[in-house]
Amino acid sequence: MWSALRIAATRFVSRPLGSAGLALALLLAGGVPAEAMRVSPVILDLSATGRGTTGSIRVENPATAPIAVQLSLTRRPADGAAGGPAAEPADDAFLVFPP
Amino acid sequence: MFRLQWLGGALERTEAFHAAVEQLPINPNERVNGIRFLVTFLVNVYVSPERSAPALRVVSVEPAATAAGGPGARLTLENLGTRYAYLSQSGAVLRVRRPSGETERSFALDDDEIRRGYGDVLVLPGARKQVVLALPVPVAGKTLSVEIAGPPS
Repeated sequence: MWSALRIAATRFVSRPLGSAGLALALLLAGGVPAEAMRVSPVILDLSATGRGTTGSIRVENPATAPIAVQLSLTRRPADGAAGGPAAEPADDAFLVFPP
Repeated sequence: MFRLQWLGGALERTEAFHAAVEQLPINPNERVNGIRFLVTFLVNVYVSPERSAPALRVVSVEPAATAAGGPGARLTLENLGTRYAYLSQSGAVLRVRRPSGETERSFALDDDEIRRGYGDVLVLPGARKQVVLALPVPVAGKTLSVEIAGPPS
Protein backbone atom coordinates (compact mmCIF):
# COMPACT_ATOMS: atom_id res chain seq x y z
CA MET A 1 0.00 0.00 0.00
CA TRP A 2 2.84 2.36 0.88
CA SER A 3 4.47 1.72 -2.48
CA ALA A 4 1.19 2.13 -4.34
CA LEU A 5 0.47 5.42 -2.62
CA ARG A 6 3.97 6.66 -3.17
CA ILE A 7 3.79 5.82 -6.87
CA ALA A 8 0.41 7.51 -7.16
CA ALA A 9 1.74 10.62 -5.45
CA THR A 10 4.83 10.58 -7.63
CA ARG A 11 2.80 10.32 -10.82
CA PHE A 12 0.69 13.27 -9.86
CA VAL A 13 3.73 15.32 -9.14
CA SER A 14 5.52 14.42 -12.37
CA ARG A 15 2.74 16.03 -14.43
CA PRO A 16 1.86 19.70 -14.43
CA LEU A 17 -0.28 20.05 -11.33
CA GLY A 18 -3.26 22.13 -10.53
CA SER A 19 -4.17 22.74 -6.92
CA ALA A 20 -6.68 19.86 -7.08
CA GLY A 21 -3.98 17.47 -8.24
CA LEU A 22 -1.64 18.57 -5.50
CA ALA A 23 -4.40 18.24 -2.92
CA LEU A 24 -5.14 14.72 -4.12
CA ALA A 25 -1.46 13.82 -4.01
CA LEU A 26 -1.22 15.11 -0.46
CA LEU A 27 -4.43 13.28 0.44
CA LEU A 28 -2.90 10.08 -0.85
CA ALA A 29 0.23 10.85 1.09
CA GLY A 30 -1.87 11.04 4.25
CA GLY A 31 -2.14 7.25 4.24
CA VAL A 32 1.58 6.73 4.22
CA PRO A 33 2.45 6.86 7.93
CA ALA A 34 0.35 3.73 8.60
CA GLU A 35 2.98 1.81 6.68
CA ALA A 36 5.94 3.61 8.17
CA MET A 37 8.34 2.10 10.67
CA ARG A 38 7.28 1.36 14.24
CA VAL A 39 9.34 2.43 17.21
CA SER A 40 9.09 1.27 20.82
CA PRO A 41 9.16 2.10 23.67
CA VAL A 42 8.06 5.75 23.71
CA ILE A 43 9.70 6.31 27.11
CA LEU A 44 13.07 4.90 28.07
CA ASP A 45 14.16 5.10 31.70
CA LEU A 46 17.86 4.74 32.44
CA SER A 47 19.91 4.96 35.61
CA ALA A 48 22.89 7.26 35.73
CA THR A 49 24.90 4.60 37.57
CA GLY A 50 24.69 0.88 38.27
CA ARG A 51 23.12 -1.79 36.10
CA GLY A 52 20.42 0.35 34.51
CA THR A 53 22.66 2.54 32.40
CA THR A 54 21.79 0.64 29.21
CA GLY A 55 18.52 0.43 27.30
CA SER A 56 17.17 -0.51 23.88
CA ILE A 57 14.99 1.12 21.26
CA ARG A 58 13.29 -1.30 18.90
CA VAL A 59 12.61 -0.29 15.30
CA GLU A 60 10.30 -2.46 13.15
CA ASN A 61 9.82 -2.20 9.42
CA PRO A 62 6.38 -3.54 8.41
CA ALA A 63 7.10 -3.07 4.70
CA THR A 64 8.90 -5.59 2.52
CA ALA A 65 11.48 -3.13 1.24
CA PRO A 66 14.46 -2.30 3.43
CA ILE A 67 14.59 1.14 5.03
CA ALA A 68 17.44 3.29 6.27
CA VAL A 69 17.19 4.75 9.77
CA GLN A 70 19.41 6.88 11.94
CA LEU A 71 19.28 7.81 15.61
CA SER A 72 20.32 11.11 17.12
CA LEU A 73 20.08 12.41 20.69
CA THR A 74 19.29 15.87 21.95
CA ARG A 75 19.02 17.26 25.47
CA ARG A 76 15.53 18.52 26.33
CA PRO A 77 15.22 22.02 27.74
CA ALA A 78 14.66 22.20 31.50
CA ASP A 79 11.01 23.19 31.26
CA GLY A 80 10.31 20.44 28.73
CA ALA A 81 8.10 22.80 26.75
CA ALA A 82 7.79 22.96 23.00
CA GLY A 83 8.92 26.21 21.46
CA GLY A 84 11.45 26.80 24.23
CA PRO A 85 15.20 27.04 23.85
CA ALA A 86 16.68 25.03 21.00
CA ALA A 87 17.60 21.48 21.91
CA GLU A 88 21.31 20.80 22.29
CA PRO A 89 22.94 17.77 20.67
CA ALA A 90 23.69 15.09 23.26
CA ASP A 91 25.24 12.33 21.18
CA ASP A 92 28.41 12.50 23.29
CA ALA A 93 26.49 11.61 26.46
CA PHE A 94 25.56 8.16 25.13
CA LEU A 95 27.23 5.24 23.47
CA VAL A 96 24.87 4.15 20.69
CA PHE A 97 25.11 0.77 18.96
CA PRO A 98 25.03 0.41 16.04
CA PRO A 99 26.81 3.74 15.67
CA MET B 1 17.41 -2.42 17.50
CA PHE B 2 19.49 0.42 18.91
CA ARG B 3 21.25 0.03 22.23
CA LEU B 4 22.01 3.11 24.29
CA GLN B 5 24.42 3.39 27.18
CA TRP B 6 24.66 6.46 29.39
CA LEU B 7 28.23 7.78 29.54
CA GLY B 8 27.57 10.93 31.52
CA GLY B 9 28.27 9.49 34.97
CA ALA B 10 26.44 10.21 38.23
CA LEU B 11 23.68 12.81 38.30
CA GLU B 12 22.01 14.77 41.08
CA ARG B 13 18.63 14.69 39.34
CA THR B 14 16.90 13.45 36.19
CA GLU B 15 18.12 14.70 32.87
CA ALA B 16 15.80 14.41 29.87
CA PHE B 17 16.67 13.69 26.27
CA HIS B 18 14.98 12.98 22.96
CA ALA B 19 16.17 10.06 20.89
CA ALA B 20 15.06 10.85 17.33
CA VAL B 21 14.69 7.79 15.12
CA GLU B 22 14.56 9.05 11.55
CA GLN B 23 13.53 7.01 8.57
CA LEU B 24 15.71 8.34 5.81
CA PRO B 25 14.31 8.83 2.31
CA ILE B 26 16.92 6.56 0.80
CA ASN B 27 16.10 3.56 -1.36
CA PRO B 28 18.84 2.58 -3.77
CA ASN B 29 16.48 0.23 -5.63
CA GLU B 30 14.02 2.93 -6.53
CA ARG B 31 14.21 5.51 -9.32
CA VAL B 32 11.45 8.01 -8.83
CA ASN B 33 11.17 11.74 -8.80
CA GLY B 34 8.45 13.11 -6.58
CA ILE B 35 7.44 13.45 -2.97
CA ARG B 36 9.61 11.65 -0.44
CA PHE B 37 8.67 11.39 3.20
CA LEU B 38 10.94 11.74 6.17
CA VAL B 39 9.40 10.00 9.17
CA THR B 40 10.78 10.77 12.62
CA PHE B 41 9.80 9.22 15.95
CA LEU B 42 10.84 10.79 19.23
CA VAL B 43 11.55 8.58 22.22
CA ASN B 44 11.67 10.30 25.61
CA VAL B 45 14.83 9.21 27.38
CA TYR B 46 15.23 9.96 31.09
CA VAL B 47 18.43 9.36 32.99
CA SER B 48 17.96 9.48 36.75
CA PRO B 49 20.04 8.89 39.88
CA GLU B 50 19.51 5.40 41.28
CA ARG B 51 17.65 6.58 44.36
CA SER B 52 15.57 9.45 43.08
CA ALA B 53 11.97 10.48 43.57
CA PRO B 54 9.66 13.21 42.32
CA ALA B 55 8.09 15.75 44.67
CA LEU B 56 5.38 17.51 42.74
CA ARG B 57 3.89 20.58 44.40
CA VAL B 58 0.97 22.75 43.35
CA VAL B 59 2.11 26.35 43.57
CA SER B 60 -1.26 27.81 42.62
CA VAL B 61 -4.61 26.95 41.08
CA GLU B 62 -7.26 29.34 39.83
CA PRO B 63 -10.29 29.39 37.50
CA ALA B 64 -9.35 30.10 33.89
CA ALA B 65 -10.76 29.79 30.39
CA THR B 66 -9.34 27.13 28.11
CA ALA B 67 -8.07 28.00 24.64
CA ALA B 68 -11.49 26.97 23.33
CA GLY B 69 -13.22 29.30 25.78
CA GLY B 70 -14.55 26.58 28.07
CA PRO B 71 -14.23 26.34 31.85
CA GLY B 72 -10.85 25.34 33.16
CA ALA B 73 -8.30 25.53 35.93
CA ARG B 74 -4.87 27.07 35.60
CA LEU B 75 -2.36 25.08 37.62
CA THR B 76 1.20 26.10 38.35
CA LEU B 77 3.25 23.04 39.24
CA GLU B 78 6.74 22.69 40.62
CA ASN B 79 8.87 19.59 41.02
CA LEU B 80 11.11 19.83 44.08
CA GLY B 81 12.29 16.24 43.78
CA THR B 82 15.18 14.58 42.02
CA ARG B 83 13.16 12.59 39.48
CA TYR B 84 10.75 13.69 36.73
CA ALA B 85 7.06 13.82 37.62
CA TYR B 86 3.89 13.24 35.61
CA LEU B 87 0.77 15.02 36.84
CA SER B 88 -1.36 11.96 36.01
CA GLN B 89 0.76 9.82 38.35
CA SER B 90 0.76 12.26 41.25
CA GLY B 91 -2.55 11.20 42.80
CA ALA B 92 -3.69 14.82 42.63
CA VAL B 93 -7.35 15.66 43.28
CA LEU B 94 -8.89 18.95 42.20
CA ARG B 95 -11.83 20.25 44.23
CA VAL B 96 -14.35 22.86 43.12
CA ARG B 97 -15.87 24.70 46.10
CA ARG B 98 -18.89 26.95 46.25
CA PRO B 99 -18.51 30.37 47.88
CA SER B 100 -19.94 28.78 51.05
CA GLY B 101 -16.91 26.49 51.19
CA GLU B 102 -18.87 23.36 50.42
CA THR B 103 -17.26 21.00 47.90
CA GLU B 104 -19.28 20.88 44.69
CA ARG B 105 -17.21 18.44 42.65
CA SER B 106 -13.92 16.57 42.92
CA PHE B 107 -11.82 15.34 40.03
CA ALA B 108 -8.94 12.93 40.19
CA LEU B 109 -6.42 14.30 37.73
CA ASP B 110 -5.65 10.83 36.43
CA ASP B 111 -9.30 10.50 35.40
CA ASP B 112 -9.69 9.84 31.67
CA GLU B 113 -12.28 12.58 31.26
CA ILE B 114 -9.91 15.17 32.72
CA ARG B 115 -6.83 13.82 31.01
CA ARG B 116 -8.46 14.20 27.61
CA GLY B 117 -8.20 17.92 28.21
CA TYR B 118 -4.47 17.99 28.85
CA GLY B 119 -2.94 14.66 27.86
CA ASP B 120 -0.35 14.71 30.58
CA VAL B 121 2.06 17.14 32.11
CA LEU B 122 5.71 16.35 32.65
CA VAL B 123 7.62 18.43 35.18
CA LEU B 124 11.36 17.94 35.31
CA PRO B 125 13.18 18.29 38.63
CA GLY B 126 13.69 21.91 39.58
CA ALA B 127 11.26 23.08 36.90
CA ARG B 128 8.00 24.95 37.20
CA LYS B 129 5.21 24.54 34.66
CA GLN B 130 1.80 26.08 34.08
CA VAL B 131 -1.09 24.24 32.45
CA VAL B 132 -4.79 24.92 31.88
CA LEU B 133 -7.01 21.89 32.45
CA ALA B 134 -10.43 21.75 30.82
CA LEU B 135 -13.17 21.02 33.35
CA PRO B 136 -16.70 19.72 32.70
CA VAL B 137 -18.34 22.18 35.12
CA PRO B 138 -18.43 26.00 35.28
CA VAL B 139 -15.92 27.35 37.79
CA ALA B 140 -16.30 31.12 37.53
CA GLY B 141 -16.69 32.60 40.99
CA LYS B 142 -15.76 29.34 42.70
CA THR B 143 -12.73 28.35 44.69
CA LEU B 144 -10.39 25.68 43.38
CA SER B 145 -7.86 23.64 45.28
CA VAL B 146 -5.61 20.73 44.43
CA GLU B 147 -4.38 18.19 46.96
CA ILE B 148 -1.64 15.73 46.28
CA ALA B 149 -2.24 12.93 48.75
CA GLY B 150 0.06 10.09 49.67
CA PRO B 151 3.55 9.65 48.36
CA PRO B 152 4.48 12.10 45.61
CA SER B 153 4.36 10.87 42.02
